[in-house]
Amino acid sequence: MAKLWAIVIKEYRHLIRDPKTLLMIVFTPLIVTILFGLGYGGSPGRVPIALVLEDMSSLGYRLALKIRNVPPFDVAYTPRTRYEAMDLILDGEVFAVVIVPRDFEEEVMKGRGFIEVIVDEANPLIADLLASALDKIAYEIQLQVSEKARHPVVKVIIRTVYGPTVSKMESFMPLVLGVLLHLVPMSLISISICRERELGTFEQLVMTPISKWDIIVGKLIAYYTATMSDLVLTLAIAVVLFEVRVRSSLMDLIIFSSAFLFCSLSIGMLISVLARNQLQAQQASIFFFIPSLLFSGAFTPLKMLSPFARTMALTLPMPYFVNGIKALMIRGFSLLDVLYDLEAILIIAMLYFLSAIYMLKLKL
Amino acid sequence: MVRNLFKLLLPPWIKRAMEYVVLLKDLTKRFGSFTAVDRLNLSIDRGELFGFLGPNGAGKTTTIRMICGLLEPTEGEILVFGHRMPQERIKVLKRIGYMPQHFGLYEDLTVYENLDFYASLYGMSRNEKRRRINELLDVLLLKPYVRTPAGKLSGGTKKRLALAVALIHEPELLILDEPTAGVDPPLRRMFWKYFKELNKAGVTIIVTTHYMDEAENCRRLVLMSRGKILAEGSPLEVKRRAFGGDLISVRVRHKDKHVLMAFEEKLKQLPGILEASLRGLYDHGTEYLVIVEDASELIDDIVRIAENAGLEVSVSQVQVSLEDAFIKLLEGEHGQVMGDSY
Ligand SMILES: Nc1ncnc2c1ncn2[C@@H]1O[C@H](COP(=O)(O)OP(=O)(O)OP(=O)(O)O)[C@@H](O)[C@H]1O
Ligand SMILES: [Mg+2]
Repeated sequence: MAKLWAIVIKEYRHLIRDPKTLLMIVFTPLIVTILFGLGYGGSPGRVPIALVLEDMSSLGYRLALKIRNVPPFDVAYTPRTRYEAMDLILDGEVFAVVIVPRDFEEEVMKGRGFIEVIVDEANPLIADLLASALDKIAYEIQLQVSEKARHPVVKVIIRTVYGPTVSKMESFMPLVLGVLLHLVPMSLISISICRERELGTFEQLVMTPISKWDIIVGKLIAYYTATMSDLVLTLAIAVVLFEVRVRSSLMDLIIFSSAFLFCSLSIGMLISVLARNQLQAQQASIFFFIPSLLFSGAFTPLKMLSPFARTMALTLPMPYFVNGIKALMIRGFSLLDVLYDLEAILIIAMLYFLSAIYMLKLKL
Repeated sequence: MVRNLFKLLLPPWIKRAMEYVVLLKDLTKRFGSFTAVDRLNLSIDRGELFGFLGPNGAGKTTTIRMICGLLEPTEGEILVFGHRMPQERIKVLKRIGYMPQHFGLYEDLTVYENLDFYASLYGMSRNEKRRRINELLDVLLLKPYVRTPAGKLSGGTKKRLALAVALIHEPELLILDEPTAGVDPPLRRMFWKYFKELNKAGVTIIVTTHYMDEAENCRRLVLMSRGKILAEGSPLEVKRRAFGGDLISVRVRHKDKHVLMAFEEKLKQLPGILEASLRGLYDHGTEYLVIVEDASELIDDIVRIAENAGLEVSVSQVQVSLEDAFIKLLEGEHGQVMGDSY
């Protein structure tokens, strides 16, 4: 036990005194999370649109107000005529124009009301988004009008458990966490043993009555606690800066992530045991990371992958992690609901861990 | 119990083998097709100060690493304290202190942290650690560097630290691979004084070196070249082996050529003389170089026959250095013709 502790302390000292590892541990999650957040953090009012209000009735105003509050859109211009608005699209100032036509209220009362939307053909995605947002608004307006006129109404109550209310950043969190808790720990620990071989410190180390368990478990503990900070950091940035919500209990999330972290570290450890030098180790961890990323299920659902890729994905810890994190963070499930993923991750981790211990030779 | 009983029943030659600290039998190491160590047979007794000498690439480090169980031998057998290496190395690691040829400590840890780390790996208690580390810091003059990162130390100080780590657990067998390489003369002297003290206190020491003057300190040594042992024994024995015996220089002042030839005749017939040859002339005299089995027995005889012949004579033993012996043996191995040696 004292030996194990000695190894842990020694590894901490290496980690703290090497500015490169510190930088990697602290800055990678910082940069990756912020980049993802800036790229996908769906803060409202990002897509500029123009609104032309030709009808000055109260219903017209009410509609305009609703349009201003649709999350991804920002009413950047309110030109007086539709011709001015058209120019804005052509100049690339706005992506779409919404026109509330003259006599809108009257036409609605007659049952013939419509809203005109002009979209930039180059952005079909925005057109779809805007169309569905406006559908919803139109439906609400219709509902209000019908109720006032005491017409019979069929209300559709949409309860969103998850889906539309999830911001884009939230849906990317499983991937962000997966990337950070896989690549950083794996590549960090992958050089830990072969570096000792390269520097010649291994020769002295293995002359002591130390066991393989002491070396491997000691290093794992040190790197585990050090890279656990990546989870904390990533979550903190996502929550504070990009308003990401963790819907499950934090404890469940930490336990689940810990298992994955252990798995990443075990894989890195096996690489370190097998690699001849540091360069080889770094390359091997990146080589391992690529299929993990591609077949993670974050880009394409696993069901749509080729049978080969699907089989391969089964052996990688990343798809299980992405799946489990989705369930925890986004759907708000508990650890019990992701037991299958947790078990899979732990089994893979144990395989790599035991192989690392088996393969480590206390020799030159 | 059973083990001890078993030991009693063993034949005497095996019992003797167990008394050896190190026993090498036909030890061979090949790297691919290159043979680094070639059928080495050697035994090192308890309490010896044993030296490995040899030029670069002789296979010293490879041999030492195999003794430590760090490298697997290609062929042959290694027993350390009676245990097979590397299979049973775990049983003897606590009894061995090892200082590798290249600095093998953590450069980002301080002197104290390195010592403390290794002390912990040997399972020493907190008090034991503190006592032992302070002791070593004092003896090896490392006190001023306690807080210095090992990587910032000078070459000589690094070697002292490496020695301290090798000694941290008070091993019975100390294996030092070129402990004095790149160390200045005063420190080298200090190292050797310390090695001798340790040896006197009962520590068996195995040391490799390139410095011949140091090797004179060894009680026994082997001279290695290209993976083979060229000579083995005490420094004196190795020197004798190199030249076939002791060297004596005989200088006579001659007046008459015939007297001189008669003397030469008699000298060659003297029992115990292996070889006598004319080495050259010096002012009014002639010098012979004589190789004898044992110089101390024959010097008087030589003086006697010279004086009987009426010659003025001065006889002295030539002090051969290990370096001379070393070069002679290497030349012999390479099959070169001797130049103008003694
Ligand atoms: N791992 C290895 N792979 C291949 N060849 C090796 C290896 N280790 C040593 N050798 C070769 O074996 C030979 C003996 O090397 P060794 O290090 O034992 O010599 P040495 O006597 O210690 O020399 P030096 O005085 O330079 O330290 C050398 O020619 C070396 O190149
Ligand atoms: Mg060497």
